[in-house]
Amino acid sequence: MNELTRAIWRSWDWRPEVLAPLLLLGVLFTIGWLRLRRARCAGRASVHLAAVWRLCSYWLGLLILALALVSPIETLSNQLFTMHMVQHLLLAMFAPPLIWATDPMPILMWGLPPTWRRAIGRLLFRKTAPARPLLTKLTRPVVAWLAFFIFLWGWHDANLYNLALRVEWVHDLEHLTFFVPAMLLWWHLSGAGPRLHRRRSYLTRVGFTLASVPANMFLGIAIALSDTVIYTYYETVPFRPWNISVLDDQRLGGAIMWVPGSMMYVLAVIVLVGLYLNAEERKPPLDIGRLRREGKFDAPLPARPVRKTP
Amino acid sequence: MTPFPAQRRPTRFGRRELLLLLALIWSIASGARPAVAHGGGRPQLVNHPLGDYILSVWTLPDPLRVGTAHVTVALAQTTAGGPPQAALNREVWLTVQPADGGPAQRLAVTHANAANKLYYEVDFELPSVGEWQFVIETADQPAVTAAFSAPVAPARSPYTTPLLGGLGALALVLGWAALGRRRSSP
Repeated sequence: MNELTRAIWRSWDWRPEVLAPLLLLGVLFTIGWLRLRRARCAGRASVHLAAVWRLCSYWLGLLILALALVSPIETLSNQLFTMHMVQHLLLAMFAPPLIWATDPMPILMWGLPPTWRRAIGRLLFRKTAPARPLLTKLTRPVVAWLAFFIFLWGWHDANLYNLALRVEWVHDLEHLTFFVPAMLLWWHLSGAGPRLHRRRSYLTRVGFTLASVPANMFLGIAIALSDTVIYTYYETVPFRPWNISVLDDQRLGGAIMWVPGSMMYVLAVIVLVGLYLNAEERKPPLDIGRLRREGKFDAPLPARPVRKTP
Repeated sequence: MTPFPAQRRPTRFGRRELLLLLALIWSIASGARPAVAHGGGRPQLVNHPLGDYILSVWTLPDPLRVGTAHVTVALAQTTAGGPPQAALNREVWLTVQPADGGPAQRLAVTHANAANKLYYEVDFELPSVGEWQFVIETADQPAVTAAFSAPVAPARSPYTTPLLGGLGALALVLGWAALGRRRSSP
């Protein structure tokens, strides 16, 4: 391993303000998961919720968030556009579906002491909860989609992007405004709890997923096919690892946003269609005999008797 | 199965343990250093020649204030007409001194202090306001130096951030209460 690669591998930014909340969420989830697993009175629902894959998926989601925010991916994002796009992809496209796939809310609630659990339910989620109307309005699917689209395109404006790289807190704000709408979007796509809105069918969610593709794809295409350097900050960087030129770096970053970013939605569509077909298969077969006895197959009678014209 | 059912008291992890965990995490998070990673801040020298090297320097906070300051140095070197490459593991020194004279601090700027190990970084205290002189040199070419000066502003009150946070929390609580009152009124 040469000097440069060794230096890059050692470039971890152990930020406690990032790691501490992730650790708290991981611990709460694990406690809730263990409680559900140990609950003797529990029925099939708790066994289903406390499946091992959920614990693995949740921790993998948290690990991806940590990788995106403290690993060399984060430290190199100020030098390489490609690394910045990888970081955004991890934050908005990989971590949220892994976290939501576990349906984390009930498990996290089980990780809390009962009084806290009830207080949170009373404040946020019960039908009469004071914050529920506001929460429901703010997290509508259209709002989530628009927020994701606006923040994604807005932050890729050259001036805002350059500013985010120059000022650390703006960079943090950029990540937060990518991550929160992405979480909202994937929450609707996954159909996980808390259920503040009308439950959508699998096919509606497939449509919503497909409607989310253009936001990512067209921006990725525009960046990948650009012949000029859009993000001029990278021209001022004193040296570029691996000798990749600014324009090639930009094209590669755009392609990463375009292809793997869109692929995550395609995967989501495949999973949703699979779940839909599975649910259809589990429906009881039609009782043809009963339907025939009830006359459901008879041709409908005309509403009025047909008169012969003279 | 609902997560809000139970009269059962948890035996292993209760409210006290959760508070302890929150306190631990808060204490870790509150010790977080200001954001200083990867060469952020105000660029003071950009692609400045320093002997065989090309030097770039950034300072934080922006503007510099009395208290802890952070300097990031990038050293690049051009080889055989190719693009500049990072010059790593050099001995870099920073000398800081008030422009109108006064005691100077000579500090080692190292990879060890940096999150991004391609850069050299150092933290130090700026004790007074006014114009300050910053001089960068490398141990292998001590005769060549690069210098810049920057004004140092008075320290920001340590209560500013908690005060703003408290005001924000108060606004949230008041907003919450107002919303609740509007909902409960006929």
